[in-house]
Amino acid sequence: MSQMNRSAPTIAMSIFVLSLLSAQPTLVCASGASGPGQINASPSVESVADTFAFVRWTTQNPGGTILHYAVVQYGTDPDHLDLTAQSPTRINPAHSEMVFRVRMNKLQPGTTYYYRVSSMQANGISDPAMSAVSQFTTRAANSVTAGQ
Amino acid sequence: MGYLKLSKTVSLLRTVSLTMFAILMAVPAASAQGTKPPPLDFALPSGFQVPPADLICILPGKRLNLQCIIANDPDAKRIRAEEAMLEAQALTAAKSGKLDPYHQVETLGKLEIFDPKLAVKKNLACSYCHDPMAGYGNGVSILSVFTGGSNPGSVPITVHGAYPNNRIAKRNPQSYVYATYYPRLHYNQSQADFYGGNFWDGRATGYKLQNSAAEQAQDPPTDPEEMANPDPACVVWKLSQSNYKFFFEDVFGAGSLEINWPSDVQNVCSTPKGAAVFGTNATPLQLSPTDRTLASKDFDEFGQSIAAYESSSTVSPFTSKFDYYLAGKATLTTQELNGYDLFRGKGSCNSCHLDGRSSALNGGGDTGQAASVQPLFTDTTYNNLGLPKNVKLPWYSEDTPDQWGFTGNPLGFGFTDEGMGLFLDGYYGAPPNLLWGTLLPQFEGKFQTSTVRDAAMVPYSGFVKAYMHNGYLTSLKEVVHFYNTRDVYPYAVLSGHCPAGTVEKVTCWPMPEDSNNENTTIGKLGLTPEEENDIVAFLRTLVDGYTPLN
Repeated sequence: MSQMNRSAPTIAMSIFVLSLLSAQPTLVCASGASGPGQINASPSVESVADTFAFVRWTTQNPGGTILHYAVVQYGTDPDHLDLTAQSPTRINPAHSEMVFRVRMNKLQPGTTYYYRVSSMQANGISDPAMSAVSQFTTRAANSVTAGQ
Repeated sequence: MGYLKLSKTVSLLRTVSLTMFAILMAVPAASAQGTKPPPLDFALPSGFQVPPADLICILPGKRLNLQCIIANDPDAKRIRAEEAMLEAQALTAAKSGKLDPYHQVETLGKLEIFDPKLAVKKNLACSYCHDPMAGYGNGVSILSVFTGGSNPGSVPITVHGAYPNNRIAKRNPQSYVYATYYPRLHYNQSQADFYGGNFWDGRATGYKLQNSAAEQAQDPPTDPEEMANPDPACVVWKLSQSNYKFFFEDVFGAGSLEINWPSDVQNVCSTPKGAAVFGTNATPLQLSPTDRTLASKDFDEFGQSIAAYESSSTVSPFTSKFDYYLAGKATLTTQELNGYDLFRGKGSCNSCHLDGRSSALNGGGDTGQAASVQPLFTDTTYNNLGLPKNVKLPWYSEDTPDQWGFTGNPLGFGFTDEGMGLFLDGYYGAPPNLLWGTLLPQFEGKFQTSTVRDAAMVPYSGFVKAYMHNGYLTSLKEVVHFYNTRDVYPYAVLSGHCPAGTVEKVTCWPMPEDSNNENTTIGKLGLTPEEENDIVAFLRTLVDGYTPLN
């Protein structure tokens, strides 16, 4: 949430209201399930820069809500993936496959991250597939490339 | 029991939400100058030349003297000539006595939409920002290049040395073609998503009139950056002074505009909204309760008649080449067909810009039955495409009080356009459905998916058209290239600061203005340059006014 357009008390109140009434659904994924939503192409790092990276994977069309969220759980400890990034994406009901992509921001340069991917419908219901844990390393600080 | 629990929850929500909005509204306007935008440095689009008449309007630092542009620019003159012609045409029709009720309402809307006298300074019609020749979007080419397509409003700023020297909107005006086909804004529970509404941020919900376009039409006349009337009743007063007053009463009833106006009506209604003299009073005209009720009814009917014109066969006619293709009366070229297959295949454009047809991931021709023979090419939902902040918007510099004591943007360059987030978060006042406020985290940064119908319509070859809410993109090729490569060439820089060796909008896309909820359906589509061109060719088949050969 950008904080430039509103006051601190308003933000605090907003957070209070949202914590009461709009808690994000908890991800519950059935690893290894088959059928719609099954991962067809394993997750891979599409590009990585010093402070951000994209992860991409393909599944069978999971169905459900048109608006979906691609989800990456990640962290610097493979046993504690304590960070989550999620990107809205829209499925095309007529397409057999679905490409999911997530942008992870605010990464530390020159750092190895571990991650696994999943997806869920806009109503919080998880799609069946969840990947195994993979890893990538961010580029050195102040890299001016767009990522590779 | 369950009902009671729900009732208590809703009650709590209302209480807390109202408290939240009360706090928001109580925040005093910033009196100091906001953060200043960086100096502008940009290349003119290929093929664009500053019209000779505008050369005297170019200020140092690639900024515009807006009053000069209004007076001299050839597009601005063309638009005013067009609107005068269309206004006269509508008045002739209104006086003919030959219109049936259906066309009477449409014609009244036409009279209103092309009437510059409805603005506070009687100098700006709706059509100034919604040029028919430009697909009812911005019709001033030089504004697309220098101001992100944002248009100056009715009120000049006369403070010595002020930039901008005219109040100006914060966004590129959204086309209103097919706007009346968008449903009222609603949250679809099963899809967990917002649909419908008008405006880039959905704030014209349609909750009251059950017509989003009608409520949209009511907004610019009282927006301080646009037509700037200080009171909705001022619009009604101007209707009562117009040469089509008789026609309004023909349509909505004799006596509709017979209101006892106060003696200071002319003074009040020529003072711009936001003037310090009004304080926070949004209805400064002193009217009796009966007259206020009648004025409110008239203002609603004003919006409804404008919506009627927007839905007419003039504005939203379904007469593009693609429409005739669906009817079997036109043939698409090989390139257009390739573009269509990419549009609904590899490009997945029709995930949001619904084409109403069968769809196949790998293209392969249109083998299915038409689900709709008048597809809207929008799902009316909201997405954050990750557009960079457009540093050209003069509104970022409107951070000091004008001669009326009004400051359009106290935050200056520090303002972040959160799209629907602004609406849900109370920027315009509490949303009509307070439950929506709780959805802010999922919808911040999102803007409405506009129809791509008539997106390619321009008044003449070489016209530069601004696209997206902030006009950052200035050609359909750029639009498609952005969708295709946003995440191939991402750089954590502001516009104007791409690294050496890159070209902004070609091999460099600056960081998003608001990265919350950034959509990743797009960003790396894998289209070749030729495939991008094919999609553009297809988009050109969606321009209304095509004449089939037979």
